[in-house]
Amino acid sequence: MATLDRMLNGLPQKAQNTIYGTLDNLKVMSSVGNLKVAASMAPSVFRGLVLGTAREGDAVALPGNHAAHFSLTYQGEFPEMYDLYRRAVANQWNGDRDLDWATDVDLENPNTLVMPLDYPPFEGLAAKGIKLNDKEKLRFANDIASWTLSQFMHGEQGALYAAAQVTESVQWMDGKFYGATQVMDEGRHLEVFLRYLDTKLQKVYAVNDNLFVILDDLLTDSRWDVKFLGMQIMVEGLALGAFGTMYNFTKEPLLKQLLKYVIQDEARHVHYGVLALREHITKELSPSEIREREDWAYEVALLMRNRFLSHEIYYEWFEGRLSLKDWDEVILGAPSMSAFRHLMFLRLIPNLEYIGLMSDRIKAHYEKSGLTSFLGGKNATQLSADDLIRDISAYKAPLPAH
Amino acid sequence: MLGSRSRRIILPRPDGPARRWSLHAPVAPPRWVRVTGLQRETEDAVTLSIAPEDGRALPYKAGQYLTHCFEIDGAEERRAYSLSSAEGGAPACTIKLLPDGRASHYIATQLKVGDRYRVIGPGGDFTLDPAQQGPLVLLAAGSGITPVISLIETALAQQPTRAVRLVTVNRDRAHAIFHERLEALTARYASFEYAPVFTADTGRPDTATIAALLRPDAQAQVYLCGPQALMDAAEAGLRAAGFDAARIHRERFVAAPRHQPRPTEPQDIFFRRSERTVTQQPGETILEAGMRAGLRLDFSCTVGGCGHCKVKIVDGAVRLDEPNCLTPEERSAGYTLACSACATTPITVDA
Repeated sequence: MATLDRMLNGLPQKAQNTIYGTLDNLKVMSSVGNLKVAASMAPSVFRGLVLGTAREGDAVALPGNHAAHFSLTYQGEFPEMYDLYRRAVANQWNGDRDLDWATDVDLENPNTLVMPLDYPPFEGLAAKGIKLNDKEKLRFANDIASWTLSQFMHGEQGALYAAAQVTESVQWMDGKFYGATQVMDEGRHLEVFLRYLDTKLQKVYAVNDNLFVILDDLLTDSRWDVKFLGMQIMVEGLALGAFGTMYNFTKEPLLKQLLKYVIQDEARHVHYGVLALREHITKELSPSEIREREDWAYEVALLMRNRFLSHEIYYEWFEGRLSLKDWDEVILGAPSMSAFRHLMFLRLIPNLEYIGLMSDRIKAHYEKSGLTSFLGGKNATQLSADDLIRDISAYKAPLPAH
Repeated sequence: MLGSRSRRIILPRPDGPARRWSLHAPVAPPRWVRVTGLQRETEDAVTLSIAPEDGRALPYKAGQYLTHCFEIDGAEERRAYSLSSAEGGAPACTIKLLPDGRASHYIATQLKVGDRYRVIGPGGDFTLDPAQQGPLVLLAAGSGITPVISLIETALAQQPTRAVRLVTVNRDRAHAIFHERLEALTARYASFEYAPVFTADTGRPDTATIAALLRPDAQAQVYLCGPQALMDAAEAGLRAAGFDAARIHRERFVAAPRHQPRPTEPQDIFFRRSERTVTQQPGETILEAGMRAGLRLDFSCTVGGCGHCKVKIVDGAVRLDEPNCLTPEERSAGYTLACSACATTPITVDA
């Protein structure tokens, strides 16, 4: 890092940002040095980070390379999945009827702030010489809220397509039943986040490059279990961390209720994922295939931990006033990020352990990244939706020292 | 160059919010609540305190009501009861128990703390006008005190020196709901004047007497809540005394309806303004059929008491639960209440 600092020193800030950003992008996929994993992710990384495919145009075509598993005999049962399906059918909610859209979301009312002012990294910014007045702080907090919810929405769009693909590919009939409810769930999540952004915050941010890499990767991977792992464990884990953090922070009642409903659905989604993957990984995969999935999951976990750094906000607010590298440092040290990481890995690590992707070899990598404290926690089969909400509510993010 | 595409940060929204969100009626969903308290106020009045199960606040304005959806013997019974708690406080409704009332009997004999049921609302526009900060003069008869005490306590909490005069009409002291609470208010607020009338002692007050008791200042806002005849008399007396009728607010006061038998065959309803035909299923009201189809229809209390769902029937026959708040003039002009009426033939509605 000292070499990088020396290299950047004295260059114009735009050039510094380009060099820093390019080198940073090259670090993606290389944490465990698994060439197969790097090769499988490379096209998505290239499209997302290098070409910036999602930065312009109205849509992007992501070719699906998976096979639909069409059952001819309808044999074989997975009773636990059928049970999840029945619960999913019984617990469907209605995004129009069950949320009070008449709620007046006043972005300036201190009692109902979407993103309370305690949590944006104002102190970190001040330490880098950026001081915002009260009005700017409020606007900045609202922009962070819009950015965060925009990424939730983009993630839900990806989840909708991934859930549909997974439903095609899954081999158990009970999994297809269940998968159909998840497609409906993801469609509803997309609906409510879009509606909230469109009618309440009225500001929508573009999809973050790194999020797009993950979505592109799992939507275009031909292996059903990698799609499953990516969607049901990794992205759902990410979602639980991110939604949980927002649920804890927000004082806005409509958003809080919306997130509560969404989190309750996510609990089922992860449960489904671990049921299917444990069966598949422990019974079907060879040791080398397991190793590959372990490495892939680790890379994605790091990508999720280290790279959702709100660069869109940086470019909107601080380009020219602060280097991208300094911005990344501020965001990585922000209390909201620490809460997000805690809640994400609290659920993710025990689930990876339960499905058989936590060998001693990969544990050493997680250990280096400081993530093994979550080992032995409750996995998705041991947690109800109420448990999830309770754990999320019980976690209080450290506030910045005043 | 790597990453050379221009960076798009904010997505364009040239037309603002999408139209799809406004195609369906914004319906506040019924909320599950739990009973947190049942307090007897008089021998035939009880205050029912509730808390939303989801932990979110249930914001309401002083003077509004909630529609309570009780499950009684396997059937839903809805009743609109005014909130008697001050704005910002935990919601509580005070209910006059009627000797033959189905809901009254249920509340008096079965409902207990911890029970859960659903409420719709709040609704109603018998509320304080924030633009008017002058004196308040209020008339409440019987359980008409329920929204009125909420108005008084809210107004005084917001502005402790505001001139507020309340005239109540009750049979006797034992039947005067909140008598002690109101006397305590007079001790606390020098600007609050409480004038109870007990008809057992003085007989029913006539028009002139009521007007004399109310004697509002020209700048006052007047609130009337009680039986129709008493409110009519009060309004007539005030008008005769030259008081500006625009400053008089009245709460409609309708007894619970008796449900008419519902048609057992589906009937088509043509909603003329939306140009949609919806088939009313057996058991449904016009409002329920329209809402199911996602039409934008106004409503509030859902029990025939508020008039928000009044619609004109252009063609066809309906059956309407009675009593309700429609006036004879509205009936003869072809209006019905969508929440309490069902089509008995194919109909066309001007909605």
